[in-house]
Amino acid sequence: MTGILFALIAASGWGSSAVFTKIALEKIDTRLGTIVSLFFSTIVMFTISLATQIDSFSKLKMPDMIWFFAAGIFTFSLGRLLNYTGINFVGVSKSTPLVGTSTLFATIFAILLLGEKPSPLIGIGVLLVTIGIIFITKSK
Amino acid sequence: MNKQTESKNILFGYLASLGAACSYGVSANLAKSIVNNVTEPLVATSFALMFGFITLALIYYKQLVNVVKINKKTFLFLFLAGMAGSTGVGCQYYAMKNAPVFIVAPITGSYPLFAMFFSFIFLRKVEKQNFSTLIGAVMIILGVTLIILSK
Repeated sequence: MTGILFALIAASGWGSSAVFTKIALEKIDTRLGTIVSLFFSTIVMFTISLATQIDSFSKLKMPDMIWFFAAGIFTFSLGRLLNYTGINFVGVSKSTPLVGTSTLFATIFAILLLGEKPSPLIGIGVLLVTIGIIFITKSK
Repeated sequence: MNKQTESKNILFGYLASLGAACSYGVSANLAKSIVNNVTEPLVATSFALMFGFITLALIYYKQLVNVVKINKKTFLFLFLAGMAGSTGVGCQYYAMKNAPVFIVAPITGSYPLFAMFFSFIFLRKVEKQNFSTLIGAVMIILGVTLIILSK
């Protein structure tokens, strides 16, 4: 039950985040909005991780920073900026489901770059996602 | 705004959204390696956020002078967006610790439906919802859930 509750909070957290973003971006440039939002997220996340996992910080090595930098570029510099741009241009209802297809791209990259083997279930999933994208982009 | 510009903006919005999904797809594979070989998800996310913030601030440093023009309401909503997003990441981590993936993944994957619900309540005047978008979102959630469960 605890897991389900946390999962529901996670989903509603991401859902409400998109709506808050849309409201905030009505008055400012998307790039500036992304930078300010990243600033707040960094403060919040460091506070939480320092409070709960301070031991993990002492185990970090300098080369680990290269991994964090790469993750920062793809997840936040590029990912969040494009995500906010999408929300600003087509709205929350259309942008959020499209951004939600990231699992599909993750699977494609895992198959192409990491040699993971696709299954028939993945094929059905890809088909459903593609039909979903068509429905959203064709809707008025 | 004329029709041609409007169409271009909509296309740009769709491409940006799919570009974000693509970027998140790369980062999911990176995250897998980081969590398996480097450190805990929360610590990794903290550093990734810091590097993401610094990189964007350096690229668009000219935008930073406009921070003083941002009103309190906008600041509040940006703060709430950041808080809600970070809470989502943290809760997903604890959900995975307390329940199996086949239960957590469909719930967290349904976040577009939550976004549409909140949008329907709070952005009714700004955004129009329609049945076609809802069907599309449900299809994507089902497809994504199948992909996650197949692993």
